[in-house]
This record gives sequence, C-alpha cells and structure tokens, in this order.
Amino acid sequence: MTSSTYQAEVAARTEQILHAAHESGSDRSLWGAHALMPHKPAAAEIVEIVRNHLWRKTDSPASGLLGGPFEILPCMLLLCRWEHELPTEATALIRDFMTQAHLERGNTENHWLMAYGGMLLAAERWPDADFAWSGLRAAAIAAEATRWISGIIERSAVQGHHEYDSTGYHIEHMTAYIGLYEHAHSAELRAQIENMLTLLVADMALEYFNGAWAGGHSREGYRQNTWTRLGPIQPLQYLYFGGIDFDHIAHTHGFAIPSVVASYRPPALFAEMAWDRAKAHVVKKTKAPRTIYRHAREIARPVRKYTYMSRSFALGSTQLGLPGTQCGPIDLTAWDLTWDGPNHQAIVACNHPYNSPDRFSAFLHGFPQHIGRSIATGKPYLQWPDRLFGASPYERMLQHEGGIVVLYDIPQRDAHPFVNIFLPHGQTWSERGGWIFADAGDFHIGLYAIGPYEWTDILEANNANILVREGDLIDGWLLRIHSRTAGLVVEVVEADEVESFAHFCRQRVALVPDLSGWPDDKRVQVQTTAGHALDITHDGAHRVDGEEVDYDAYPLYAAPGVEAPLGTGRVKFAKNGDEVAVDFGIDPNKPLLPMRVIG
Amino acid sequence: MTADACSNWLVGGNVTATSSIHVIQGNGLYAGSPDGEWARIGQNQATALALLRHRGQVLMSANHGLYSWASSAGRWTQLQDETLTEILAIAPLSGDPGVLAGCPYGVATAHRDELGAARWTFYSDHLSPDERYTNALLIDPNDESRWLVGSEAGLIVYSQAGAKTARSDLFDTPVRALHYAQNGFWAGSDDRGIFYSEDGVRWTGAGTGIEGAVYAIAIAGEQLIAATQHGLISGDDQRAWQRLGPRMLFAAIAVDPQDPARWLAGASPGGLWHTADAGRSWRQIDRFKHVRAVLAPAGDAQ
Repeated sequence: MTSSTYQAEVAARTEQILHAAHESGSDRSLWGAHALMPHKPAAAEIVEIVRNHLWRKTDSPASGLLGGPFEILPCMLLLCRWEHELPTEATALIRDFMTQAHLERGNTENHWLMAYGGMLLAAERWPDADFAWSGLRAAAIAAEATRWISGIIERSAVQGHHEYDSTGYHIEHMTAYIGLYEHAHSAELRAQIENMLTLLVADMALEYFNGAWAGGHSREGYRQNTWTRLGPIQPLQYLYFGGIDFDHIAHTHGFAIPSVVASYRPPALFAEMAWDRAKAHVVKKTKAPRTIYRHAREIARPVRKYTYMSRSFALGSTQLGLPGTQCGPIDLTAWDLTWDGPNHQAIVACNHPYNSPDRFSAFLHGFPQHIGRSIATGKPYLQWPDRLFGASPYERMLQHEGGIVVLYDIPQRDAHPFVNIFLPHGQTWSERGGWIFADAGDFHIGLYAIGPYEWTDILEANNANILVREGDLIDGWLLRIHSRTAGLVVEVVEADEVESFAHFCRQRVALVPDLSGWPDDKRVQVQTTAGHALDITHDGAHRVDGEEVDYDAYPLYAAPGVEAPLGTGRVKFAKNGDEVAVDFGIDPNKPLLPMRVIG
Repeated sequence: MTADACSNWLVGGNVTATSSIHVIQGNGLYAGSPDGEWARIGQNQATALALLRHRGQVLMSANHGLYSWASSAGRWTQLQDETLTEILAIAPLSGDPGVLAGCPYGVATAHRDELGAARWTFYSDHLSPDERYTNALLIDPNDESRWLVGSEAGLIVYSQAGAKTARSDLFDTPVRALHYAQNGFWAGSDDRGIFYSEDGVRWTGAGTGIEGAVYAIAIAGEQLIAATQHGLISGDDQRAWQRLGPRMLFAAIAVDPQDPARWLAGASPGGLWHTADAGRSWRQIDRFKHVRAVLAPAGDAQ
C-alpha cells in the first residue's frame, strides 16, 4: 500500500468517526467536542460543555474546583486544537480552571502523562500566569513536566512500556502523546514523542487480530476480558488499521476523538503489519517491570510477552516477573486464546481469583489493615470468587506456538482453592480421554484441566440492580477446577494443518500429559500434536524441546521484520520494502528517571 | 481563610464526598478548634497524610504532593517534583526547603533549583521495596544527620545524612509510628505492639496487650497515648496498655500543648474525635469523615 493510499483511507475513516460522533451526540463532552467544532457550534454550546465537564454543574469559583488528569488533558487539547475558534468565554474558563483549581496528578502512568501533558501545554500557553495550585512559576511547572515526559519516554525506549498494551489505557497514552506532538513548543520533545508514538502504534499493530488486541495486557476492562474487541483503544485501531466494519459505539469513544482530528498519522507500514496473517508467526515483547512498592523483598523482573499470531486464532501469554506472593495487579490479563467472533464467543481464559487485600496495598498507600474494604466497597467485583481477570501470584505458564501449559500452586492460606476457566457458549464442546474439544471451524481447540473440575455457567450484566437479564459483561461456561494445584493445558491448531477434527482429537488424547511430577515435583510435561515438548516446573525451569527458555534474551520486540535489541532505544520495522527506524538517542550512562506511579 | 494556621488545630481530612482520581479522603487541610468553626486553608484539596510546622510554615504531605503554606503569602506552594509523591511522613531539617520526606519509594531530601523548585534526592534506591517503603520518620534530636525510618520491613537507621543505612533489631514487621519522648524513642509496629529504645538501634517491647497495628504515638503530660487499628490506647513501657474511647481505626492523635488532657484524634474511617478529659469521654466533631493527620496548635509540645 502506498502512503497516499493509506492516508486517503485514514482520512475517510476519520470523517466516518467524526460524523458518527456528531450524529450520536457524543461530541458534547470535553473529549468529543473536537467532533463538534467543525460544525461551528454556538458559543453558548461550547461554554456549556466546558462548564459541565470542569465545573461539574456547580457554581463554584474556579478556586474551589478539583481537577485531575481527566480534566487537565482534555481541556488543554480542546483549547490548543481550536484556539482560534473557541469563544472567548470558553478559553477564559479553561484558563481559570488550569490556573486556579486544585490540580492533582493521580497515581498511574496514564494519569501522570495526561496531567503533565496538560500542565505543560498550559504553562507554555500562559507563561506569566499565576498557577495557584502549584505556587511555582510557569517555567518551573513546564520544566518538571518536560523532565517527566522525556524521562518516561526514555524508560519505555530502553526497557519497554510500563502500562503495556492496555485495551483501556493505551488510548490515554496515545491521545496525550499525540496532543503534545501537535502542540508542545519544544521541537526536541516533539521528536521524542513521535518516536514514542511509533512504538505505541507498533504495540497495537503487532498483536492486532481482526479488530481485537491479542496477547497479555497490563490492564484490561473490569469483567470484560471475555470480550473479543474491547476498550477505548478501538477507535484508533479502526482509524489506523481499518479492515473491519465500523461500529458506531465502539469506534467513537470520546478519549480517541482528539487523536482522530489530529494531524498525526502513523506510517502505512503498521497497517500492513496489523493485517498480515498470511503465515503464522510469534511476537515477543519485553515490557518494563511492574511497579510493586510493598509486600516485596525484591523488585519485579521485566515482563516478557509471547503471542502466537496464527491465521484464525491468537494465543498469547506473559511471564509477569512479579516479585512476591502478595502481588497481583488487579486488572491484569496474563493469557488468553482469542479468535474472531462476538463478545463472549471467541475467548478461552482461566484465572485464579486471588483476593488478598495486600494486592491493593502492593500498589496503593492505604493502610493494609483497611484497604481490602475501602477498595472493594466501591468495586466489589474485584474480590468476587468467579473473577476471570486480575493476576494471581500463584500462576505460572509456558507457551510454544499454539500450545500452552498454565499451572497454579495455591497455598493453604489462600481463600480461593480453585481456578476458573471460561469457555464460550457458542462452541459445541465434547469430552474424551480427559480432554475437552471444540471444532471451531477454521481451527480446533483441545483443553486438558489438571484437577477435578465441574461445569457451571457465569452471567454478569452491567446494569444488574435486581436481575441479570442479559449477560452483557460476561456470558459463558465456567469450569471450576477444585484444586490448589490446578492447571490447564491448551493446544490449538489450524484446521487445514491437520487431517480432520476427529484425527486431531485422537492424536491429542493419545499424547497424555505427563503429570508424574505434579504436584510433588511441581513439573508437568506435555507433547503437542505438532511435535513439540513443553516442560514446565512451577517456579522452576521452562523447556521447549529440551532447551531451556531464556526469557532474559527477549529483545524489546521480536517479530518478522522487526529489529529491536533491548536497552538501546533503537528499533527498526520493515515490511514489503518499506522501513521505519527510530532512534531515541539514549545515553547509556545517564540514569533513567525513577518510576513513581503504578505502571 | 481567616483561621490562623499557627494558633489553631490543623486537621487533614475530608468533609465532603470527592470525585477525584482514586481519592478516598481528599479535601485538604482545615484549621479550627474542637468547640468552634473549621475552615479550609487555601484551595488545596489534597489528601493530607502528615503535617508539620516548621519555620513559620505549615507543611502538608499528601497523596499527590508535598505543600507548604505560608500565612504571610496566604497560599500553598508545591514542594514535590516528578520523583516525589505519596508522601507518608515528613520531618524538619535545616536548609531550604528543610524537610525530610518519606514515601513508598524511600527517603529523600531536597534542594532548590534555579527556578525555585524543590528537587529531590533519594537515599533508599539500594534497599528492597519493603525497606524503601517509608511510613514514619524521626530525626534524632541529638544528631540531625541521623534519621530513624519506620519502613514496611522494619526500623532502619539512616546515618550521615542518608549516606549509610543499617537495620535496627526491630525488623520483619512494618513500623508505622515513631515518637521521641521521655528521653527515648518509641515505635509502633503492625503486629508486635509498641517498642522503646534509647539509641534507636536496640529495641524492647513496651507494655503489653496492644491489638492490631499502631499508627501514631504521642505524649500527654506523663502519659503515652497511641492511635491503633482498633482504637486509642494509653500506657507505658511496663504495664498493659488500656483502650480509650470508640473502637475504630485511629490514624492520628495530637495533644494540646497548653492542656495535656485535651486531645484530638483522627480516624479513617471515623472522622475527628475530641476529648477534654484525657480520654475518659469523647465527642465526635461532625462533618469530618476520614482523618489521617492532626496537628495541635503551636506550642512547646510541638
């Protein structure tokens, strides 16, 4: 695809998204108003949008307001993008808010990026203003913001993104960086931001699977990891990669609208990478160690992702590198099998619903003695026993291509001595020789539960005040393995690579998983029908075909056409004769900015 | 704001629901008196975690920053930079800005850069995560370069202004409270009660019968009092500690320097509680819901 062809396609999708956002009325928010501005709205309409979002329908003076990243960034993006079209009153409101309200940074990587991004834009726009929330001069505010933004970019270039591959939060990184790329004053900073955007788009493209984001995710929507396509990142996936039907709701999420109207567009090469499924291949990624600041005697190790992008399915897993038994990031998804299909009908996943309150205080400073209640009263589903998302410190996994072994070693003190497996209703499941099979048409699935299990179902709705009528959040089979030493073996094969489904089933049943070392020696060995030997010891060695897997050897990215040695800040993407190379100019002797937020 | 930050009680707590990011408390710092009105100081709505009066200013450490309030200027000024956040403990030092800060990422001091901003230097990067995580700070009254640090791993002594660190023998339990009184150091732990030390290195258990974590220690006349997970207690280093007042998670307690029978205690959740008779009777001060920090009016006891 030529660049001009690609740009024309993106321009068409831009109009489609903006038109739909305007028609649906979702352009009446601070994020979405970028879709309203081309229609030359009345001044009063814009003023109302600004007031509703920043003042929250109060009559408070600006000095009585409280603002965080979700106010700071969108108001500055609206101001910067439409500086000459905004009514004077709207501009004055935004300036009042940004200078007089009490502004806070939040406590996650996306929070700080949005907050520092908006603060930098404000400090540059109003260099002589009195920023009452800070007390510092604009130059000092801008310097602090620039140091953090530059520093977090360098960290990402050297050791991988912290808040990696999040279907929910990737858009907040993208929109903040794109806004800064468009509006920040420093050419040097904007150049680094463009490099960073290249990495973030590459992250999206390398695991793009028919509109979904395959593989492990640092954060995925609460109770939504049985969805096929999810998260506010979808508008940018659609905008940049196309290839699927336009969804009037999913593709008009407000967080993306400032990026949709921006001039920034990624190189066409990434759209080609996103859609290249001619041949199955493996994508490997290194991501930054998780920020665990308590209940740990050592720092986390780097995150290593392994995603098998086959033609009709994707199987992805993660070596989380968590440092202690109390660490379980609450919205992390470590592995899943996904394919193209409706929500709940195209995912297989399993999870141990670890619920020690320490998993909150490992990331949040509230008293450990009370934090379990203080967090869970607001989000009770974080502690539900049926939970399918969130990390368990007792989970380990080994994957090779379409085969994966997931093991759990749950101690006696844990309140949930079981593991949940999610299976879609839409497949016809069969059991034979201890294996559960499904013929999914283009591919076949075989699962082997380690431990006694029983079938039940799971149905959760978003608005279930009294009765769950429709399982819009979760809807499927729940297989519960009642064992502290539970496990799951999964093998998935393309249908045209085996003789028949029946033949695959016979082959699979004949290759009985070797559980002679489980649980006493914590070792499980599995032969795949493709001829590979997976050998995993829980908290021990991982071997494939007799060779120990060296996760430390993972580069920043490994995929066809990608060169990205870890720690260098130099990455090259090549496809069909096109090439995109970025060099962050990393000084190896310069210490990295310390990471001070959840990520 | 008309209430004076020096002559009034200061309370970091919330009086209204807040909808900011991940904020359980918020609403900033209030000045007032137990029997009078309370008014917020300035516009800051941060979640106050620790308070300090130092050289005519009030320092407030908070979830997202560290702020100083100068009554003469009538405004808050941020002291955090991009490396300092979630500041759980502060202690006075000489110099400008003259404060030792403790946060989940360790212990740090600051200098001013050419733009007047505080820039922080950390002394804990070589430690493990639990050793870095700082709940409480105490400057040795005999040596400003020697800092007692209550960490999630136990009590660590920083010497030579942070150049050296050493474990005390109070270890393998989180230490959340530190206080200097009666010519000695006092420490409150998560699961082993209160300890006493003459040098900050060797510690012995102080009294018995303490249930749950200890979050703050203070002295009222000759009486030691503490805020704990299950209520307020009083006692000494010999006998069983006695529980006082309502049973709830008290996070902070302060004593009126002019009247040692008059205390204010903050609970989270539970709000603000006042006693005028050394803990025999208590009255809840309405409007506060969560309180993590209380500071008595300026006086000798401070």
